[in-house]
Amino acid sequence: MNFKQGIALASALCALGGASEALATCDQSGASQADIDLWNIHGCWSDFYVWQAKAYDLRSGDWSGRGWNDACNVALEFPKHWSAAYLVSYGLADNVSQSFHGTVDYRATAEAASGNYHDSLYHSVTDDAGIFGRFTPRIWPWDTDRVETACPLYNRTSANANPGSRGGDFMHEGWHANYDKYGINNGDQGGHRAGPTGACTINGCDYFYFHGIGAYAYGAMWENNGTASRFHSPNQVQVEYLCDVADQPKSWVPASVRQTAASDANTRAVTRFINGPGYSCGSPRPW
Amino acid sequence: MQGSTWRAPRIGALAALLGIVGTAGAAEPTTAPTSPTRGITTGIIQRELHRPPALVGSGDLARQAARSFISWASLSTADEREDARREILAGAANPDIVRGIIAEAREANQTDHSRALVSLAILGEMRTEEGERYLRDFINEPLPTKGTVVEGDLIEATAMASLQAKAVDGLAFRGTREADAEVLRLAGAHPSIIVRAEAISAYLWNHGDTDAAREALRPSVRKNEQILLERVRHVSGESAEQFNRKLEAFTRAHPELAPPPPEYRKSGPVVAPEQSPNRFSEPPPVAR
Repeated sequence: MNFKQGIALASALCALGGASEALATCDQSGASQADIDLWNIHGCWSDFYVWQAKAYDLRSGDWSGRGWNDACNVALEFPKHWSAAYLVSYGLADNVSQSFHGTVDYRATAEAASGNYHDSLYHSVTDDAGIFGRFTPRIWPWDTDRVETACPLYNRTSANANPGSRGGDFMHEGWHANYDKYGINNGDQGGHRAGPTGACTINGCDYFYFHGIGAYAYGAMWENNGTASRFHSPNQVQVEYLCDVADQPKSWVPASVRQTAASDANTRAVTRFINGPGYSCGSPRPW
Repeated sequence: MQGSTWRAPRIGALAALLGIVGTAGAAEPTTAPTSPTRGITTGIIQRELHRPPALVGSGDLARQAARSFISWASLSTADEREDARREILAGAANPDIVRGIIAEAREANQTDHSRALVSLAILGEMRTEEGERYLRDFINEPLPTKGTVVEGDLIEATAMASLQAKAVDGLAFRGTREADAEVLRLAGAHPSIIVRAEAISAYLWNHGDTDAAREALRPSVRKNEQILLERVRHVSGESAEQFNRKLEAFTRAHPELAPPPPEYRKSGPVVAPEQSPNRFSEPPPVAR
Protein backbone atom coordinates (compact mmCIF):
# COMPACT_ATOMS: atom_id res chain seq x y z
CA MET A 1 0.00 0.00 0.00
CA ASN A 2 1.45 3.33 -1.04
CA PHE A 3 1.13 6.58 0.90
CA LYS A 4 -1.85 7.86 -1.11
CA GLN A 5 -3.71 4.60 -0.68
CA GLY A 6 -3.00 4.68 3.02
CA ILE A 7 -4.48 8.16 3.36
CA ALA A 8 -7.51 7.11 1.35
CA LEU A 9 -8.04 3.98 3.44
CA ALA A 10 -7.79 5.95 6.66
CA SER A 11 -10.32 8.51 5.49
CA ALA A 12 -12.68 5.76 4.39
CA LEU A 13 -12.39 4.00 7.72
CA CYS A 14 -13.29 7.26 9.43
CA ALA A 15 -16.35 7.47 7.23
CA LEU A 16 -17.54 3.92 7.92
CA GLY A 17 -20.75 3.89 9.86
CA GLY A 18 -21.36 7.53 9.16
CA ALA A 19 -22.00 7.15 5.49
CA SER A 20 -25.51 7.26 4.18
CA GLU A 21 -26.97 7.88 0.80
CA ALA A 22 -27.68 11.54 0.28
CA LEU A 23 -31.24 12.44 -0.60
CA ALA A 24 -31.56 13.51 -4.20
CA THR A 25 -31.67 17.24 -4.61
CA CYS A 26 -31.81 17.46 -8.39
CA ASP A 27 -35.11 18.81 -9.67
CA GLN A 28 -37.44 15.84 -10.10
CA SER A 29 -40.52 17.88 -10.96
CA GLY A 30 -40.44 17.22 -14.68
CA ALA A 31 -38.43 17.14 -17.88
CA SER A 32 -37.46 19.60 -20.57
CA GLN A 33 -39.23 19.73 -23.91
CA ALA A 34 -36.26 18.02 -25.58
CA ASP A 35 -36.30 15.21 -23.03
CA ILE A 36 -40.05 14.75 -23.46
CA ASP A 37 -39.75 14.78 -27.24
CA LEU A 38 -37.10 12.06 -27.33
CA TRP A 39 -39.07 10.08 -24.77
CA ASN A 40 -42.08 10.24 -27.06
CA ILE A 41 -39.97 8.65 -29.78
CA HIS A 42 -38.85 5.60 -27.81
CA GLY A 43 -41.33 5.41 -24.95
CA CYS A 44 -40.47 3.23 -22.00
CA TRP A 45 -38.40 0.35 -23.33
CA SER A 46 -37.40 -2.10 -20.63
CA ASP A 47 -35.08 -4.16 -22.86
CA PHE A 48 -33.05 -1.06 -23.51
CA TYR A 49 -32.83 0.34 -20.00
CA VAL A 50 -31.89 -3.06 -18.57
CA TRP A 51 -29.15 -3.32 -21.19
CA GLN A 52 -28.07 0.30 -20.60
CA ALA A 53 -27.71 -0.25 -16.86
CA LYS A 54 -25.20 -3.02 -17.61
CA ALA A 55 -23.46 -1.27 -20.48
CA TYR A 56 -22.89 1.85 -18.37
CA ASP A 57 -22.32 -0.19 -15.19
CA LEU A 58 -24.94 1.64 -13.17
CA ARG A 59 -25.21 0.59 -9.53
CA SER A 60 -28.56 0.48 -7.84
CA GLY A 61 -27.41 2.27 -4.71
CA ASP A 62 -26.26 5.30 -6.70
CA TRP A 63 -29.58 5.62 -8.52
CA SER A 64 -31.90 4.75 -5.66
CA GLY A 65 -34.54 7.46 -5.34
CA ARG A 66 -33.63 8.64 -8.82
CA GLY A 67 -35.72 6.30 -10.92
CA TRP A 68 -33.92 2.98 -10.55
CA ASN A 69 -37.24 1.41 -9.56
CA ASP A 70 -39.27 3.91 -11.58
CA ALA A 71 -37.45 3.65 -14.89
CA CYS A 72 -40.34 4.94 -16.99
CA ASN A 73 -40.72 8.25 -15.16
CA VAL A 74 -38.87 10.78 -17.30
CA ALA A 75 -38.96 13.31 -14.47
CA LEU A 76 -36.22 11.32 -12.71
CA GLU A 77 -32.47 11.08 -13.25
CA PHE A 78 -32.06 7.44 -14.28
CA PRO A 79 -34.69 7.63 -17.04
CA LYS A 80 -33.06 10.83 -18.31
CA HIS A 81 -29.68 9.07 -18.22
CA TRP A 82 -30.82 6.03 -20.18
CA SER A 83 -32.71 8.22 -22.64
CA ALA A 84 -29.48 10.11 -23.38
CA ALA A 85 -27.78 6.74 -23.87
CA TYR A 86 -30.55 5.80 -26.31
CA LEU A 87 -29.58 8.82 -28.40
CA VAL A 88 -25.92 7.76 -28.29
CA SER A 89 -26.76 4.18 -29.28
CA TYR A 90 -29.31 4.79 -32.02
CA GLY A 91 -29.51 8.50 -32.87
CA LEU A 92 -26.64 9.09 -35.28
CA ALA A 93 -26.70 8.61 -39.03
CA ASP A 94 -23.01 7.60 -39.24
CA ASN A 95 -22.59 9.35 -42.56
CA VAL A 96 -18.95 8.73 -43.48
CA SER A 97 -18.80 11.76 -45.74
CA GLN A 98 -20.22 14.17 -43.15
CA SER A 99 -20.07 12.87 -39.56
CA PHE A 100 -17.01 13.61 -37.44
CA HIS A 101 -17.06 10.17 -35.83
CA GLY A 102 -19.25 7.11 -35.67
CA THR A 103 -21.59 5.59 -33.14
CA VAL A 104 -18.93 2.98 -32.39
CA ASP A 105 -16.61 5.77 -31.17
CA TYR A 106 -19.20 7.57 -29.07
CA ARG A 107 -20.52 4.37 -27.53
CA ALA A 108 -17.04 3.17 -26.59
CA THR A 109 -16.28 6.56 -25.01
CA ALA A 110 -19.50 6.65 -23.01
CA GLU A 111 -19.92 3.03 -21.99
CA ALA A 112 -18.27 1.19 -19.15
CA ALA A 113 -16.26 -1.53 -20.86
CA SER A 114 -12.48 -1.42 -20.76
CA GLY A 115 -10.79 -1.08 -24.12
CA ASN A 116 -8.77 1.25 -26.32
CA TYR A 117 -10.83 4.27 -25.30
CA HIS A 118 -10.46 3.99 -21.55
CA ASP A 119 -10.21 1.54 -18.69
CA SER A 120 -13.39 0.26 -17.05
CA LEU A 121 -15.63 2.98 -15.68
CA TYR A 122 -19.05 3.21 -14.11
CA HIS A 123 -21.67 5.94 -14.23
CA SER A 124 -22.97 7.53 -11.07
CA VAL A 125 -24.89 10.69 -10.27
CA THR A 126 -24.23 13.57 -7.91
CA ASP A 127 -26.26 16.40 -6.37
CA ASP A 128 -23.36 18.78 -6.92
CA ALA A 129 -24.82 21.89 -8.56
CA GLY A 130 -21.42 23.38 -9.38
CA ILE A 131 -20.42 20.93 -12.13
CA PHE A 132 -21.94 19.27 -15.17
CA GLY A 133 -19.98 16.09 -14.65
CA ARG A 134 -16.86 14.69 -13.05
CA PHE A 135 -14.40 11.91 -13.75
CA THR A 136 -12.67 10.30 -10.78
CA PRO A 137 -9.93 7.75 -11.44
CA ARG A 138 -9.59 4.67 -9.30
CA ILE A 139 -6.84 4.29 -6.75
CA TRP A 140 -7.11 0.58 -6.08
CA PRO A 141 -6.54 -2.20 -8.60
CA TRP A 142 -9.94 -3.72 -7.77
CA ASP A 143 -11.77 -0.39 -7.94
CA THR A 144 -13.25 1.25 -11.04
CA ASP A 145 -13.00 4.70 -12.60
CA ARG A 146 -16.14 6.76 -12.01
CA VAL A 147 -18.10 9.16 -14.19
CA GLU A 148 -20.65 11.29 -12.36
CA THR A 149 -23.28 13.46 -13.98
CA ALA A 150 -24.74 16.33 -12.00
CA CYS A 151 -27.96 18.27 -11.48
CA PRO A 152 -27.40 20.88 -14.22
CA LEU A 153 -27.81 18.00 -16.69
CA TYR A 154 -31.08 16.89 -15.07
CA ASN A 155 -32.86 20.01 -13.75
CA ARG A 156 -35.49 20.71 -16.37
CA THR A 157 -34.97 24.47 -16.42
CA SER A 158 -31.23 24.13 -17.01
CA ALA A 159 -29.92 24.81 -20.53
CA ASN A 160 -28.02 21.52 -20.46
CA ALA A 161 -30.92 19.35 -19.30
CA ASN A 162 -31.50 17.70 -22.65
CA PRO A 163 -30.48 14.34 -24.14
CA GLY A 164 -27.79 15.73 -26.45
CA SER A 165 -26.00 17.74 -23.75
CA ARG A 166 -26.19 14.83 -21.32
CA GLY A 167 -24.65 12.49 -23.90
CA GLY A 168 -22.12 15.20 -24.67
CA ASP A 169 -21.04 15.06 -21.06
CA PHE A 170 -20.67 11.27 -21.31
CA MET A 171 -18.14 12.00 -24.07
CA HIS A 172 -16.37 14.72 -22.11
CA GLU A 173 -15.92 12.64 -18.97
CA GLY A 174 -15.13 9.53 -20.99
CA TRP A 175 -12.30 11.46 -22.60
CA HIS A 176 -10.87 12.32 -19.20
CA ALA A 177 -10.82 8.55 -18.70
CA ASN A 178 -8.96 8.22 -22.01
CA TYR A 179 -6.35 10.74 -20.81
CA ASP A 180 -6.04 8.86 -17.55
CA LYS A 181 -5.45 5.56 -19.34
CA TYR A 182 -2.74 7.00 -21.57
CA GLY A 183 -1.07 9.23 -18.96
CA ILE A 184 -1.93 12.54 -20.65
CA ASN A 185 -1.69 15.74 -18.61
CA ASN A 186 -4.27 18.30 -19.71
CA GLY A 187 -3.83 20.75 -16.84
CA ASP A 188 -4.61 21.11 -13.18
CA GLN A 189 -8.06 22.75 -13.37
CA GLY A 190 -10.21 19.65 -13.17
CA GLY A 191 -8.22 18.07 -15.98
CA HIS A 192 -8.21 21.28 -18.02
CA ARG A 193 -5.98 24.32 -18.31
CA ALA A 194 -6.38 27.47 -16.24
CA GLY A 195 -8.31 30.28 -17.85
CA PRO A 196 -9.57 32.58 -19.12
CA THR A 197 -6.77 32.44 -21.67
CA GLY A 198 -6.59 32.94 -25.42
CA ALA A 199 -10.09 32.55 -26.82
CA CYS A 200 -11.24 30.55 -23.80
CA THR A 201 -13.49 32.56 -21.49
CA ILE A 202 -13.80 30.18 -18.54
CA ASN A 203 -11.50 28.49 -16.03
CA GLY A 204 -11.12 25.04 -17.54
CA CYS A 205 -9.80 25.37 -21.08
CA ASP A 206 -8.76 22.93 -23.79
CA TYR A 207 -7.07 23.12 -27.15
CA PHE A 208 -8.95 22.26 -30.32
CA TYR A 209 -7.07 19.75 -32.49
CA PHE A 210 -8.73 20.50 -35.83
CA HIS A 211 -9.23 17.55 -38.14
CA GLY A 212 -11.16 16.95 -41.33
CA ILE A 213 -14.05 14.62 -41.99
CA GLY A 214 -12.68 11.15 -42.58
CA ALA A 215 -9.42 11.76 -40.74
CA TYR A 216 -10.45 9.05 -38.29
CA ALA A 217 -11.99 5.81 -39.47
CA TYR A 218 -14.98 4.80 -37.38
CA GLY A 219 -13.62 3.05 -34.33
CA ALA A 220 -10.35 4.99 -34.42
CA MET A 221 -11.21 8.13 -32.44
CA TRP A 222 -9.10 6.86 -29.53
CA GLU A 223 -5.92 6.93 -31.64
CA ASN A 224 -3.29 9.53 -31.01
CA ASN A 225 0.22 9.74 -32.37
CA GLY A 226 1.68 11.74 -29.51
CA THR A 227 1.55 14.97 -31.47
CA ALA A 228 -1.07 17.65 -32.04
CA SER A 229 -1.72 16.27 -35.52
CA ARG A 230 -3.78 13.32 -34.25
CA PHE A 231 -5.33 14.06 -30.93
CA HIS A 232 -8.56 15.17 -29.23
CA SER A 233 -9.39 17.15 -26.11
CA PRO A 234 -12.40 16.43 -23.86
CA ASN A 235 -14.31 19.54 -24.93
CA GLN A 236 -13.53 18.80 -28.57
CA VAL A 237 -14.94 15.27 -28.42
CA GLN A 238 -18.01 16.78 -26.77
CA VAL A 239 -18.43 19.43 -29.48
CA GLU A 240 -17.97 16.89 -32.27
CA TYR A 241 -20.60 14.60 -30.74
CA LEU A 242 -23.02 17.51 -30.35
CA CYS A 243 -22.38 18.58 -33.96
CA ASP A 244 -23.07 15.04 -35.16
CA VAL A 245 -26.36 15.04 -33.23
CA ALA A 246 -27.25 18.44 -34.68
CA ASP A 247 -26.19 17.87 -38.29
CA GLN A 248 -26.04 14.11 -38.88
CA PRO A 249 -28.82 12.53 -36.82
CA LYS A 250 -31.13 9.71 -37.76
CA SER A 251 -34.27 10.99 -39.46
CA TRP A 252 -36.44 10.53 -36.36
CA VAL A 253 -34.39 12.71 -33.99
CA PRO A 254 -36.69 15.56 -32.87
CA ALA A 255 -35.99 19.18 -33.77
CA SER A 256 -35.70 20.19 -30.11
CA VAL A 257 -32.93 17.61 -29.59
CA ARG A 258 -31.07 18.79 -32.69
CA GLN A 259 -31.43 22.46 -31.83
CA THR A 260 -30.29 22.08 -28.22
CA ALA A 261 -27.29 20.05 -29.39
CA ALA A 262 -26.32 22.75 -31.90
CA SER A 263 -26.74 25.47 -29.27
CA ASP A 264 -24.55 23.62 -26.77
CA ALA A 265 -21.91 22.85 -29.42
CA ASN A 266 -21.70 26.46 -30.60
CA THR A 267 -21.62 27.83 -27.08
CA ARG A 268 -18.74 25.54 -26.15
CA ALA A 269 -16.89 26.17 -29.41
CA VAL A 270 -16.50 29.88 -28.65
CA THR A 271 -15.96 29.70 -24.88
CA ARG A 272 -13.82 26.66 -24.08
CA PHE A 273 -10.90 26.59 -26.50
CA ILE A 274 -7.66 28.48 -26.09
CA ASN A 275 -7.08 28.36 -29.85
CA GLY A 276 -10.77 28.76 -30.64
CA PRO A 277 -13.18 29.14 -32.11
CA GLY A 278 -13.95 25.54 -32.89
CA TYR A 279 -16.19 24.69 -35.81
CA SER A 280 -19.71 26.04 -35.77
CA CYS A 281 -22.53 23.67 -36.63
CA GLY A 282 -26.24 23.72 -37.18
CA SER A 283 -27.67 26.29 -39.57
CA PRO A 284 -27.91 30.04 -38.97
CA ARG A 285 -31.35 29.88 -40.58
CA PRO A 286 -33.85 29.95 -37.71
CA TRP A 287 -35.85 26.93 -38.91
CA MET B 1 -14.08 17.96 -15.36
CA GLN B 2 -11.71 15.56 -13.72
CA GLY B 3 -11.84 15.11 -9.98
CA SER B 4 -8.86 14.79 -7.74
CA THR B 5 -7.08 11.48 -7.58
CA TRP B 6 -6.91 12.08 -3.83
CA ARG B 7 -10.19 10.57 -2.81
CA ALA B 8 -11.41 8.07 -0.35
CA PRO B 9 -12.30 4.73 -1.90
CA ARG B 10 -16.02 4.05 -2.04
CA ILE B 11 -17.42 2.04 0.79
CA GLY B 12 -18.10 -0.92 -1.49
CA ALA B 13 -14.46 -1.12 -2.48
CA LEU B 14 -13.37 -0.77 1.11
CA ALA B 15 -15.78 -3.47 2.16
CA ALA B 16 -14.31 -5.75 -0.49
CA LEU B 17 -10.87 -4.93 0.82
CA LEU B 18 -11.94 -5.89 4.31
CA GLY B 19 -13.71 -9.01 3.10
CA ILE B 20 -17.08 -7.88 4.34
CA VAL B 21 -19.15 -7.89 1.15
CA GLY B 22 -18.60 -8.01 -2.58
CA THR B 23 -19.31 -5.14 -4.94
CA ALA B 24 -20.76 -6.96 -7.89
CA GLY B 25 -24.29 -7.74 -8.89
CA ALA B 26 -26.51 -4.68 -8.65
CA ALA B 27 -30.18 -5.48 -9.16
CA GLU B 28 -31.76 -4.62 -12.49
CA PRO B 29 -33.77 -1.42 -12.76
CA THR B 30 -37.53 -1.76 -12.80
CA THR B 31 -40.66 0.14 -13.64
CA ALA B 32 -42.98 1.25 -10.88
CA PRO B 33 -46.48 -0.17 -11.41
CA THR B 34 -48.00 3.26 -10.91
CA SER B 35 -45.40 5.72 -12.02
CA PRO B 36 -46.24 9.30 -10.97
CA THR B 37 -45.37 10.93 -14.25
CA ARG B 38 -46.64 14.39 -13.35
CA GLY B 39 -48.48 14.69 -16.61
CA ILE B 40 -45.62 13.43 -18.77
CA THR B 41 -46.63 10.79 -21.23
CA THR B 42 -44.78 7.49 -20.99
CA GLY B 43 -45.85 6.11 -24.33
CA ILE B 44 -44.80 6.67 -27.88
CA ILE B 45 -46.83 9.38 -29.52
CA GLN B 46 -48.48 7.99 -32.61
CA ARG B 47 -48.69 10.82 -35.06
CA GLU B 48 -49.03 11.24 -38.76
CA LEU B 49 -45.99 12.80 -40.38
CA HIS B 50 -46.25 16.00 -42.42
CA ARG B 51 -49.44 17.14 -40.67
CA PRO B 52 -48.58 20.21 -38.58
CA PRO B 53 -51.37 21.80 -36.57
CA ALA B 54 -52.69 24.92 -38.28
CA LEU B 55 -51.46 28.29 -37.05
CA VAL B 56 -54.87 29.97 -37.19
CA GLY B 57 -57.31 31.73 -34.88
CA SER B 58 -57.52 34.87 -32.84
CA GLY B 59 -57.18 35.78 -29.16
CA ASP B 60 -56.99 32.77 -26.85
CA LEU B 61 -57.46 30.36 -29.74
CA ALA B 62 -54.39 31.81 -31.43
CA ARG B 63 -52.38 31.32 -28.25
CA GLN B 64 -53.54 27.71 -28.08
CA ALA B 65 -52.66 27.21 -31.73
CA ALA B 66 -49.21 28.67 -31.10
CA ARG B 67 -48.71 26.35 -28.14
CA SER B 68 -49.78 23.29 -30.11
CA PHE B 69 -47.61 24.20 -33.05
CA ILE B 70 -44.51 24.68 -30.91
CA SER B 71 -45.07 21.26 -29.36
CA TRP B 72 -45.48 19.70 -32.81
CA ALA B 73 -42.43 21.55 -34.17
CA SER B 74 -40.28 20.45 -31.22
CA LEU B 75 -41.03 16.82 -31.98
CA SER B 76 -40.84 17.23 -35.75
CA THR B 77 -38.22 15.44 -37.83
CA ALA B 78 -35.78 16.85 -40.36
CA ASP B 79 -38.04 15.47 -43.11
CA GLU B 80 -40.82 17.75 -41.85
CA ARG B 81 -38.76 20.94 -42.03
CA GLU B 82 -40.54 22.26 -45.13
CA ASP B 83 -43.95 21.44 -43.66
CA ALA B 84 -43.03 23.53 -40.64
CA ARG B 85 -41.73 26.39 -42.76
CA ARG B 86 -44.91 26.52 -44.84
CA GLU B 87 -47.10 26.68 -41.75
CA ILE B 88 -44.85 29.26 -40.09
CA LEU B 89 -45.06 31.46 -43.17
CA ALA B 90 -48.85 31.16 -43.20
CA GLY B 91 -49.04 31.96 -39.49
CA ALA B 92 -46.81 34.99 -39.88
CA ALA B 93 -49.65 36.81 -41.62
CA ASN B 94 -51.78 36.60 -38.46
CA PRO B 95 -50.73 39.12 -35.77
CA ASP B 96 -52.49 37.13 -33.04
CA ILE B 97 -50.46 34.05 -33.95
CA VAL B 98 -47.23 36.07 -33.88
CA ARG B 99 -48.18 37.39 -30.44
CA GLY B 100 -49.02 33.85 -29.35
CA ILE B 101 -45.54 32.63 -30.35
CA ILE B 102 -43.98 35.60 -28.56
CA ALA B 103 -45.98 34.86 -25.41
CA GLU B 104 -44.90 31.21 -25.53
CA ALA B 105 -41.26 32.20 -26.05
CA ARG B 106 -41.43 34.63 -23.15
CA GLU B 107 -42.86 31.96 -20.87
CA ALA B 108 -40.43 29.26 -21.99
CA ASN B 109 -37.43 31.56 -21.47
CA GLN B 110 -38.05 31.23 -17.74
CA THR B 111 -38.98 27.56 -17.57
CA ASP B 112 -37.63 25.43 -20.41
CA HIS B 113 -34.53 26.28 -22.41
CA SER B 114 -35.21 23.74 -25.16
CA ARG B 115 -38.77 24.93 -25.73
CA ALA B 116 -37.55 28.53 -25.70
CA LEU B 117 -35.01 27.71 -28.43
CA VAL B 118 -37.72 26.21 -30.62
CA SER B 119 -40.11 29.14 -29.97
CA LEU B 120 -37.43 31.69 -30.88
CA ALA B 121 -36.57 29.71 -34.01
CA ILE B 122 -40.19 29.79 -35.15
CA LEU B 123 -40.49 33.50 -34.40
CA GLY B 124 -37.29 34.22 -36.34
CA GLU B 125 -38.48 32.18 -39.30
CA MET B 126 -41.69 34.27 -39.39
CA ARG B 127 -39.84 37.44 -40.39
CA THR B 128 -42.45 39.85 -38.99
CA GLU B 129 -42.16 43.41 -37.74
CA GLU B 130 -43.54 42.55 -34.32
CA GLY B 131 -41.26 39.54 -34.09
CA GLU B 132 -38.27 41.69 -35.00
CA ARG B 133 -39.10 44.11 -32.18
CA TYR B 134 -39.37 41.31 -29.66
CA LEU B 135 -36.14 39.65 -30.81
CA ARG B 136 -34.25 42.94 -30.68
CA ASP B 137 -35.54 43.72 -27.17
CA PHE B 138 -34.79 40.21 -25.95
CA ILE B 139 -31.23 40.22 -27.30
CA ASN B 140 -30.57 43.49 -25.50
CA GLU B 141 -31.85 42.31 -22.12
CA PRO B 142 -29.00 42.32 -19.60
CA LEU B 143 -27.45 38.99 -18.79
CA PRO B 144 -27.81 37.63 -15.25
CA THR B 145 -24.97 38.53 -12.92
CA LYS B 146 -25.82 36.09 -10.13
CA GLY B 147 -26.38 32.37 -10.11
CA THR B 148 -24.48 29.11 -10.35
CA VAL B 149 -20.82 29.20 -11.32
CA VAL B 150 -19.47 26.11 -13.09
CA GLU B 151 -15.76 26.22 -13.96
CA GLY B 152 -15.77 29.99 -13.83
CA ASP B 153 -18.85 30.16 -16.04
CA LEU B 154 -22.09 31.70 -14.77
CA ILE B 155 -24.43 29.14 -16.29
CA GLU B 156 -27.55 31.32 -16.06
CA ALA B 157 -25.79 33.98 -18.15
CA THR B 158 -24.55 31.38 -20.63
CA ALA B 159 -28.05 29.92 -20.93
CA MET B 160 -29.57 33.31 -21.66
CA ALA B 161 -26.79 34.20 -24.11
CA SER B 162 -27.42 30.97 -26.01
CA LEU B 163 -31.10 31.94 -26.35
CA GLN B 164 -30.09 35.43 -27.45
CA ALA B 165 -27.85 33.79 -30.06
CA LYS B 166 -30.89 31.96 -31.43
CA ALA B 167 -32.74 35.30 -31.46
CA VAL B 168 -29.87 36.85 -33.44
CA ASP B 169 -30.39 34.15 -36.09
CA GLY B 170 -33.95 35.43 -36.46
CA LEU B 171 -32.91 39.06 -36.59
CA ALA B 172 -30.33 38.32 -39.30
CA PHE B 173 -32.86 36.27 -41.26
CA ARG B 174 -35.36 39.16 -41.12
CA GLY B 175 -33.09 41.02 -43.52
CA THR B 176 -34.45 44.55 -43.17
CA ARG B 177 -32.01 47.44 -43.13
CA GLU B 178 -32.75 48.08 -39.46
CA ALA B 179 -32.35 44.43 -38.51
CA ASP B 180 -29.07 44.14 -40.42
CA ALA B 181 -27.76 47.29 -38.76
CA GLU B 182 -28.58 45.83 -35.36
CA VAL B 183 -26.89 42.53 -36.19
CA LEU B 184 -23.76 44.44 -37.28
CA ARG B 185 -23.82 46.37 -34.02
CA LEU B 186 -24.30 43.22 -31.92
CA ALA B 187 -21.36 41.55 -33.69
CA GLY B 188 -19.07 43.79 -31.69
CA ALA B 189 -21.13 45.31 -28.91
CA HIS B 190 -23.01 42.44 -27.27
CA PRO B 191 -21.45 41.53 -23.91
CA SER B 192 -21.38 37.79 -24.69
CA ILE B 193 -19.00 36.14 -27.16
CA ILE B 194 -21.73 33.54 -27.74
CA VAL B 195 -24.01 36.20 -29.22
CA ARG B 196 -21.24 38.11 -31.02
CA ALA B 197 -20.03 34.94 -32.73
CA GLU B 198 -23.55 33.98 -33.82
CA ALA B 199 -24.26 37.50 -35.07
CA ILE B 200 -21.18 37.28 -37.28
CA SER B 201 -22.02 33.80 -38.55
CA ALA B 202 -25.68 34.63 -39.20
CA TYR B 203 -24.91 37.91 -40.97
CA LEU B 204 -22.41 36.17 -43.24
CA TRP B 205 -24.77 33.28 -44.00
CA ASN B 206 -27.66 35.59 -44.84
CA HIS B 207 -25.39 37.57 -47.18
CA GLY B 208 -24.06 34.57 -49.05
CA ASP B 209 -20.77 34.30 -47.14
CA THR B 210 -19.29 36.85 -49.54
CA ASP B 211 -16.15 38.92 -49.12
CA ALA B 212 -18.36 42.01 -49.27
CA ALA B 213 -20.34 40.78 -46.26
CA ARG B 214 -17.10 40.07 -44.43
CA GLU B 215 -15.86 43.60 -45.12
CA ALA B 216 -19.19 45.06 -43.99
CA LEU B 217 -18.77 43.25 -40.69
CA ARG B 218 -15.08 43.92 -40.15
CA PRO B 219 -15.34 47.42 -38.59
CA SER B 220 -17.91 46.15 -36.08
CA VAL B 221 -15.98 43.07 -35.00
CA ARG B 222 -13.60 43.44 -32.08
CA LYS B 223 -9.90 43.51 -32.97
CA ASN B 224 -9.16 40.32 -31.06
CA GLU B 225 -12.14 38.51 -32.59
CA GLN B 226 -11.49 39.11 -36.31
CA ILE B 227 -10.84 35.37 -36.63
CA LEU B 228 -14.60 34.85 -36.27
CA LEU B 229 -15.00 36.31 -39.77
CA GLU B 230 -13.23 33.22 -41.11
CA ARG B 231 -14.60 30.60 -38.75
CA VAL B 232 -15.26 27.19 -40.30
CA ARG B 233 -18.96 26.32 -40.47
CA HIS B 234 -19.92 22.66 -40.57
CA VAL B 235 -22.91 22.51 -42.90
CA SER B 236 -25.28 19.59 -43.00
CA GLY B 237 -25.22 18.12 -46.50
CA GLU B 238 -21.83 19.34 -47.64
CA SER B 239 -19.30 16.70 -48.66
CA ALA B 240 -16.19 15.78 -46.72
CA GLU B 241 -14.11 17.33 -49.49
CA GLN B 242 -15.94 20.67 -49.21
CA PHE B 243 -15.59 20.81 -45.44
CA ASN B 244 -11.97 19.67 -45.48
CA ARG B 245 -11.07 22.30 -48.09
CA LYS B 246 -12.53 25.04 -45.88
CA LEU B 247 -10.77 23.69 -42.82
CA GLU B 248 -7.43 23.38 -44.60
CA ALA B 249 -7.64 26.97 -45.85
CA PHE B 250 -8.50 28.18 -42.35
CA THR B 251 -5.66 26.36 -40.60
CA ARG B 252 -3.17 27.35 -43.31
CA ALA B 253 -4.15 31.00 -42.96
CA HIS B 254 -3.85 30.82 -39.16
CA PRO B 255 -0.77 28.86 -38.14
CA GLU B 256 -0.93 30.66 -34.79
CA LEU B 257 -3.96 28.49 -33.93
CA ALA B 258 -1.96 25.26 -34.09
CA PRO B 259 -2.13 23.67 -30.63
CA PRO B 260 1.04 22.61 -28.82
CA PRO B 261 1.86 18.92 -28.63
CA PRO B 262 0.06 17.01 -25.90
CA GLU B 263 1.82 16.66 -22.57
CA TYR B 264 2.37 13.31 -20.93
CA ARG B 265 2.84 12.72 -17.26
CA LYS B 266 6.47 12.02 -16.59
CA SER B 267 5.52 8.95 -14.64
CA GLY B 268 2.98 7.78 -17.21
CA PRO B 269 -0.46 6.72 -16.05
CA VAL B 270 -0.86 7.24 -12.29
CA VAL B 271 -3.62 4.73 -11.65
CA ALA B 272 -3.09 1.14 -10.70
CA PRO B 273 -3.58 -1.48 -13.41
CA GLU B 274 -7.10 -2.88 -13.50
CA GLN B 275 -7.55 -6.10 -11.63
CA SER B 276 -10.80 -7.17 -13.32
CA PRO B 277 -11.52 -5.19 -16.47
CA ASN B 278 -15.15 -4.81 -17.47
CA ARG B 279 -15.57 -6.78 -20.70
CA PHE B 280 -19.30 -6.26 -21.22
CA SER B 281 -19.86 -6.57 -24.95
CA GLU B 282 -23.52 -7.43 -25.36
CA PRO B 283 -24.95 -5.31 -28.20
CA PRO B 284 -27.88 -3.04 -27.46
CA PRO B 285 -31.31 -4.44 -28.26
CA VAL B 286 -32.44 -4.07 -31.85
CA ALA B 287 -34.17 -0.71 -32.17
CA ARG B 288 -37.92 -0.97 -32.55
